[in-house]
Amino acid sequence: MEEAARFLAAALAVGLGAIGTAWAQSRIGSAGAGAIAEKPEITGTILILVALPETMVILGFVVSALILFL
Amino acid sequence: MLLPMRRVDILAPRSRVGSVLRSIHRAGVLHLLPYEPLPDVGPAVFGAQPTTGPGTPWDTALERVVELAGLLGPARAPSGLAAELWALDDDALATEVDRLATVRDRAARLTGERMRLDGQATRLDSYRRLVEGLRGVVGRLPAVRGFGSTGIVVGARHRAVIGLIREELEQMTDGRCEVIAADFGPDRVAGILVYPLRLTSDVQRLLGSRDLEEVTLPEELAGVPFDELGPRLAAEAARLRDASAEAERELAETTARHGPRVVALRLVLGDRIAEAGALSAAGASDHVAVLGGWLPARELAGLRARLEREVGQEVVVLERPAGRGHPPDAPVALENGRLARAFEPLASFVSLPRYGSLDPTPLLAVTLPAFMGLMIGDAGYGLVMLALLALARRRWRATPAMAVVWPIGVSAAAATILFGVLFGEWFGEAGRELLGLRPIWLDRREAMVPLLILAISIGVAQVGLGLVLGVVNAALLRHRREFAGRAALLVSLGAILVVLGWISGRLPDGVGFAGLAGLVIALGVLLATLGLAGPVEVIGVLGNVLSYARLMAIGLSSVMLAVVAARLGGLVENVVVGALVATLVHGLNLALGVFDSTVQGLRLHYVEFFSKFVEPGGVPYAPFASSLPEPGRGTGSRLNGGV
Repeated sequence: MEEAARFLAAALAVGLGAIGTAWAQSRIGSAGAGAIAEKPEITGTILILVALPETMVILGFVVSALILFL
Repeated sequence: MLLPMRRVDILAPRSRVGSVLRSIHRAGVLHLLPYEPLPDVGPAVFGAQPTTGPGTPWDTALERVVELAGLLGPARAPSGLAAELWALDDDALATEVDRLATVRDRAARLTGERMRLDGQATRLDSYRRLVEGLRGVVGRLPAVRGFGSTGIVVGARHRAVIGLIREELEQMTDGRCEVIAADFGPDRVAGILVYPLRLTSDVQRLLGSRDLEEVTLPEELAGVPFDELGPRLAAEAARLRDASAEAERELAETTARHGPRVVALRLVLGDRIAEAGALSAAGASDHVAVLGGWLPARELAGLRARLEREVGQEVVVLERPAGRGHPPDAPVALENGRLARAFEPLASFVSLPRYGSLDPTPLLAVTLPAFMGLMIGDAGYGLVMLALLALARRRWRATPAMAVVWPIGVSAAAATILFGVLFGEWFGEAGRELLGLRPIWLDRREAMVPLLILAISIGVAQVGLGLVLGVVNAALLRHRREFAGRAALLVSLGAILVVLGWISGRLPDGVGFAGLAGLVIALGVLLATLGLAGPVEVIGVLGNVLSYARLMAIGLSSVMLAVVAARLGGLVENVVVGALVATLVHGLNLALGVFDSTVQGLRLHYVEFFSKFVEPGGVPYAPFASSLPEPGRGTGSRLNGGV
């Protein structure tokens, strides 16, 4: 039972982080696409903004690895 | 590295300013700035050069030459001819442009003639196809002198239109007309209308109001019996095509004779317009003109010597003394070695570093390929990347994009092969199972914790290096607050690592307490310099470090997908189908790996690394340079001042 709870916790850590990242990227991506259409010179900045929320799922992954392996 | 620059003012007699500009233009090293008063010179002495309106005297000439170049088609200008025209004075250049008027008339006439003949031939061909397509029914049509005919084609769905047209035509001609229609191909219906020639324009108006494909028989063929019309039309179309080919040949001869001069004139006129624009940015008194700008320090002596040689000793180049700090308008010219130069566009993609700060390009040239190699980490994939790059280079060798893609791609592929050998990965498990190749360093499928520690250690090293460079940069730019803030962040990072080591029992109590004291002092400095945001910055730095876990996470997904590819291929009993499935999944994995590792590698640099030390907002170095190649000018073409 304890083992199952551990796996569930690890899955939640990654899964919720991924959902959060996906939601944030969808919002930033759609706004960014509109902004690039108006000002193509800000493409670099928008790419960075789109990539920023990925930290959430990466941190979730780290937590998940800690739960599973430590 | 960022080249050291010098701010200069060039003073010359007003009557010689044109020659000075031409010499500067040809030298191609000065980044011109609009006139700005000289130090210690009052505004009453020099004023801005009176502007000459929005255009220049050469604008119309350039328009005419561009139009002619469009008529003549592509041509290449020998550099000798361009240089010869470049050296002409304004009057001689204007004469050269005027001399092309007859060529322009001839080219326009030949082009118009060719278009007219081609149009007529196409029209006759359409009509011939119509007549041949309706051969079975046109024999019933009368061939009467004084009657014209028009062919029409409509979609089969709109067949009823022909009936309507027949009714209107009968009304218009009092019944003196004939309409024959039949299927023309699988989904179209064609018809031929015969009507009195004097009503041609009325008929065309009638047809013009409908969405029809129509073709009218030329007047000279009106009255020819329809069964003779096909060969007559073919012969007439062939005659028109011959005449068109003759016009084209004459045009090609004209292009061969005058094209190079036209192209050279276009370049030279473009340069003259740029010079006229630059002149309007100069300062001038009654007798003296002054031009200002920036140039690389090593080009200063050369420019002085050139101006003295080409204009005379009355031209004075004054160097402004360097003040404290770095002026914000100083342009940035990057200069790096051959390999690192390819990374310059990536290093300045988000923002060019400010003049006086550090150039991140050499660091990016080392760590980006290493990160990509670490994430993809498969020797087989690295070899495929090399093969694809070699193919692309063969195909697009001369393109500017390949000059950037090739060095970056080859270094990333080399790093991928190196890490693949270390991880024992050759197309996933294939190398291990088929050739017995074992990991030299780590087995990525199993060593997840060591890989995670490795990734975060790389993060500590790179973020720490970024903070060290940030401290150096703040010192170079004399920004005291940034200096103190970044130093405190650096100490915080080190202190947190020490405290973690102490908590885990790996470091003695004395070192742990020292770390704790260092952390408290650093937080105090951060509070003093950045306010309440200071301690939050420490959390941000820790987030930056943990963000490097993606090096391991993406690497793990890559190796697992490669394993899936090999196993999926093995599940299929047919060897050929199995190999195909494995190749497809490996191809997908490679494409994903290259894309993802590039984006994530760049993101780690832009967000986690560069943000610690790169001072954004640099002005690209854009020298005022002629479009003509300058023999012996090496620096201008090698410098990269833009994004």
